[in-house]
Amino acid sequence: MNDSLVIYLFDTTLALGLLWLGWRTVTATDLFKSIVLFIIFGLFTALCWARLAAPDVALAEAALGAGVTGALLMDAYRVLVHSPQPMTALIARRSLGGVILVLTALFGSLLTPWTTLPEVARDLGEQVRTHLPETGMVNPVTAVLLDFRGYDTVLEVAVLLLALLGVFVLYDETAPSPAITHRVADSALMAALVRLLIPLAGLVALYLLWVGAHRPGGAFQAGAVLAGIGILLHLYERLLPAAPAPWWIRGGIAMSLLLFSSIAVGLLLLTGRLLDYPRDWAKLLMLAIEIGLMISTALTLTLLFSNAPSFRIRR
Amino acid sequence: MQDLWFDRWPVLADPAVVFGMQWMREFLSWTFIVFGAVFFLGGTLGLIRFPDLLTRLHALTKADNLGLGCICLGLALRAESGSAAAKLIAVWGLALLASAVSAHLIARYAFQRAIRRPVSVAESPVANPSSHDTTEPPTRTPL
Repeated sequence: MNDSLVIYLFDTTLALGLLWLGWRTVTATDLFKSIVLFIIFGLFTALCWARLAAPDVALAEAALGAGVTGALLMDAYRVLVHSPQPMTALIARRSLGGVILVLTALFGSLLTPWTTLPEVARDLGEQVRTHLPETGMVNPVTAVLLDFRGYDTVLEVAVLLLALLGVFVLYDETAPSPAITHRVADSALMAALVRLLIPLAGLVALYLLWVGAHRPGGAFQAGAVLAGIGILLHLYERLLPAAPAPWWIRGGIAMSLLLFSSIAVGLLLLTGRLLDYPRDWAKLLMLAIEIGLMISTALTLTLLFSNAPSFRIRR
Repeated sequence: MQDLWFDRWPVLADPAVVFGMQWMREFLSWTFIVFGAVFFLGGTLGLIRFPDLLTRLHALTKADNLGLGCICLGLALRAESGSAAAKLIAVWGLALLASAVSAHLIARYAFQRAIRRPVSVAESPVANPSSHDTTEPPTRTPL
């Protein structure tokens, strides 16, 4: 059995499937079909990342891109269906040619740096590998995310917080919630399953957080698993949306940005350079940042899904 | 790496010792993986061809989870350590739990909407929930 032929066929199927799924997601006439195809597209992308030997990104793509975003889109679809306006096709047939033209122009312009590439490639991987022991991490992805390019991660956290602030601003207490006519909350089987699933998910999240130092994993993936639990509880009507957020929810949401930026400013005052961890403190600081990241990401994604500034627990 | 208790027990005999055991291990793992792929194919066929939402859900949960179990078992036989094999079996167990939760939620929703006639997913009440409920929920609620 020729292994490289099988791998070649697999890669070709993956690439063509990606293209076909993207096409069908945009041109499907039914919105529900589009959402389902988008979720499948997310999973295919995760497979592509795994095939490109980037398991961390594959984990994040599967959890956040396919999982949380898919659930978010399904929930939005449920709200849209209840609205009085009729749902039309996303893109009218006659404007499809214009869409194709615009997309081709966009991607064509993305390819132009290809002609201006330098002659000899700078091997950033080699630089990462030589400086990896300074960070105290074995996994180079976590080291890049939190140490070498920590500034990018600070900005990502700020962007997530801004998105959540949009939910805070747009929350309307007086708007009627879409009718949930069937009480799923009084199902004995669901009670037992949820009781089993929540501690397991907490364990998996903590494991992903801890193992991110020397294996694929990390804080974002752990936060996504915890957010999955939050979404499940919201669907199971254990967590109901509530209006003013108490201090501990606000603190939890802002925790990662506060922690990260206070560490950055502190290091700036101490050493004169931004986010330059001293060698002995590197692992401890990164662990603290990761814990804050996990809690903030979980809370932010749960609140984004429930579309409310806060939640209250229904007994 | 830490010394875990199931790392001291390799999954099967050391391949360098007995060539026959190595061949059987390969054969068994390939058999399990092929069976898993066949079950997945059957589940997908059921998803496409079954007439009703509940029957399609049945095909998805039963056949696909069995296929996942076979594939996990086949991969666990080829794992490089006992803890990697245990993690694969744990993956199967967690997938079983997750699919149980989601399938139960969907089936309960569909059952309480009293879906009786064969409909496609796109025109079923799962895809088109209505704000006012015209159908009566059954008197005996399911578990």
